[in-house]
Amino acid sequence: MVLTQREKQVIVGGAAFLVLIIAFQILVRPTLHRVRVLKRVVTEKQETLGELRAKGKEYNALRSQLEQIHLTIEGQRRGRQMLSLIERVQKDCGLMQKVVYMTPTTTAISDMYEKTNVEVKFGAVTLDQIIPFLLKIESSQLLVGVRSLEIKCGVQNPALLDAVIQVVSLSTIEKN
Amino acid sequence: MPSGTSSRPASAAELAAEIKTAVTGGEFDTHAPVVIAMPYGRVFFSNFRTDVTSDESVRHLLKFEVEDDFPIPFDDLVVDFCSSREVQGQDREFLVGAVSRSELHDCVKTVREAGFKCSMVSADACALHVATASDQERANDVGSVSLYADRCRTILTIGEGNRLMCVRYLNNSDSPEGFARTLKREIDLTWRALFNAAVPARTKILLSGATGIVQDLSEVLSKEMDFDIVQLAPFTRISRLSQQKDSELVVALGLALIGANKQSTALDFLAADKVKAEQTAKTKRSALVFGCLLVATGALLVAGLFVRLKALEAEHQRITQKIREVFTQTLPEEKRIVNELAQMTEKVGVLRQQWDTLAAEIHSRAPSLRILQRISERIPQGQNVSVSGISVTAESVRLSGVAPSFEAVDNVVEIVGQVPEFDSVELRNVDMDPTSNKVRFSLLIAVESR
Repeated sequence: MVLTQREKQVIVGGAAFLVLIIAFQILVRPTLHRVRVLKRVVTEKQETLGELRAKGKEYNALRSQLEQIHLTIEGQRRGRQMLSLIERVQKDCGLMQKVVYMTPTTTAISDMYEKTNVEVKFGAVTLDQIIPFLLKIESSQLLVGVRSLEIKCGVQNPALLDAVIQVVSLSTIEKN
Repeated sequence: MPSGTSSRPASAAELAAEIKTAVTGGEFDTHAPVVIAMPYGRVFFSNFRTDVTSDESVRHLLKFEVEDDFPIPFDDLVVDFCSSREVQGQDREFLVGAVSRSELHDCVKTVREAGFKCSMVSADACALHVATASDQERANDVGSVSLYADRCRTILTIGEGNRLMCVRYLNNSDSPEGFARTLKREIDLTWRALFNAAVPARTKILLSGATGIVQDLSEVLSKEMDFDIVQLAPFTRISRLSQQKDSELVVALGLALIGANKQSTALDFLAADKVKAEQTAKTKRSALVFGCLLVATGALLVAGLFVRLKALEAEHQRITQKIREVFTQTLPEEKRIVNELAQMTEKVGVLRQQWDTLAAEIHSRAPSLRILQRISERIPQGQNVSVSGISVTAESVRLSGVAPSFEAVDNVVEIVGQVPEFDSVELRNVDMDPTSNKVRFSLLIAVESR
C-alpha cells in the first residue's frame, strides 16, 4: 500500500496523539492522583504532629507533677506518720489536754493511692492556740492539709472555743 | 530544441547538455530571464466556474475545487489559472492549468544543472497564445482560434480578446483529412461549450507549427471547413528576425515574450508552487514552533509534577519520622507503635485521670488560715461585732455572729464581700435576740475556686 505524505503525516500525528494519551493515562494521571493524596496526607500529618507535640507536652507536664506528688507521698509512711505529726504539733501548741477526740479514717481513692482523714476535736481552747496548730499543719513537709475547720464559742464560757479540725493526707497503698 | 518537438524522450542530463550547448553557442543573453514550458503531455487544462469574485480567494480554494479534474495526486498538484471571463449570472469561468510538483521540480532542476536559474515555468499553450496575441489585428477578435501542430502534438487554443479561454491537446496521428474532421468537431464542441453558440462563419484560424505540416493542414482545412485559415508569421513584427518565415518556433517566441514582457496572463507554475511552498513552509514552521512549545510546556508541567511528587514524598517521610521521634521521645517504653496519636491520647487520658483524682484531693483542702486572717482583718473593731462560730471548707465559709445593729450586719456583709478570695457573700439568717437585744446573723460565703 502506497501512502501519500499527507496520509503518513496523519498516521504519525495520530500515533503520537495515541502515545500521548497512553502516557497520560499510565504516567501522568496516577502521578496527579498520588500528588493529590499526598497533599491531603501531608496536611493531616502536619496537624497530627502538632497535636502530638501538644499532647506530648501535656503528658510530660502531668508525669512530672505526678512524679513529684508520688515522691512526696512515697516519702511519708502511710497514715502513721501523719498521726505522729498531729500529736507532735498538739504538744508543741499545748493542746494535748484539750483533745476531746481524734478519729482517723482511711479511704482508697484509686488503685494506687489512699486518703487518710483525721478528725480532731479540741474543747475550751483559745484562737491563739488554734492558729499555731493550723500553721504548723499547713507548713508541714508532709502532704497533709486541713480539709475543714469548725470553730464555735463554748456554751459555758463563750470566751473559750470548741474546734473541730479535719486533717487529710495522701499515701500509696501498700501491696503485699 | 529537438526534444521539444519530437517524441523522443530525452534524459535530464542530455537535455541539460543540449540547453547548455544551444545557449552558450548562440547569441543569447545569459543574464536574461529564463522561461520554460512544461514538456508535452505534462500540463493539464480545465475550465472551472465559481461565483467567488476575488482572484485571491479563487487561488486559495482552487486546488481543493479542481482536485478531481486532473490525474495528479492532491499532494503533488500545482495549479494556477491564467484567465477568467464573466459567464451567465454572477459566475466567472477560469482556465486552470495543472502540473505535477515532482515533474515541475525535475524541469527546474534540469535547467539548473545546465547552469541557469529558471525564472518562470509556463505552458506551451500560453506561449502560443501570447505569440498569436502579439498580432493585435488578428487576436483582438471576440473569439479566436489558434492551432499549432508539429510532428508529435497539436495544440488548439480558443481565446476571447487577449484572454486565453480554452486549450485542447490533440494527437496528430490520423490522415490529414481525418485529422481535419477531428479538428472541426473539436473546435465546434469547444466553441459551443465556451460561447454556447455555433462557430461563426469565416472565423479565423491562426495556424502555426512545423512548416510541412502547416502547409498540409492549411490546404486540407480550407477544403473541409468554412473558416479563414491564416498562417501565422509571428516574426514579421520583430525587425531582427524579419527574414524568418517559419512559425515552428512560435512557442519559443511566446515564451520569450512572456519572459520579456512579464505577461501576467500566462501561467507560472513555479510562482504558484513557490507561494504554496512558502505557505506550507510557514505553516509547517508555525506548527513546528507551536508543537515544540506545546511539548516543552507539557514536558515542563510533567517534570514539575514529578518534582512536586518527590518533594511531597520527602515531606511526608520527614513528618512521619518526626511523629515517630516525638512519640518515642515522650513514650520510650512503648514498643508496639500502631497509631502514635491514638496511643498518646490514651496515655495522656490515663495520666490525666490519675492527676484529676489526686488534684481533687489536694485542692479539696481548705485555706483555713488565710480565711481566718482575712475575716479578722476586715471585721471592724469598733462596732462590737462578735463571731460566735465559723466553719471553713474548700468551697465555702459559714460565719455566724452577733452585731449591735442591722446596719452593722450590712457593713459586715459589704466588707467581707470585698475580700478578693470570696466570690459571693450571702446573708442567710438575721434576727433580733430578744434577751440581749442584739442582732444575730449568719453568712454563707462562697470561696473562689482554685
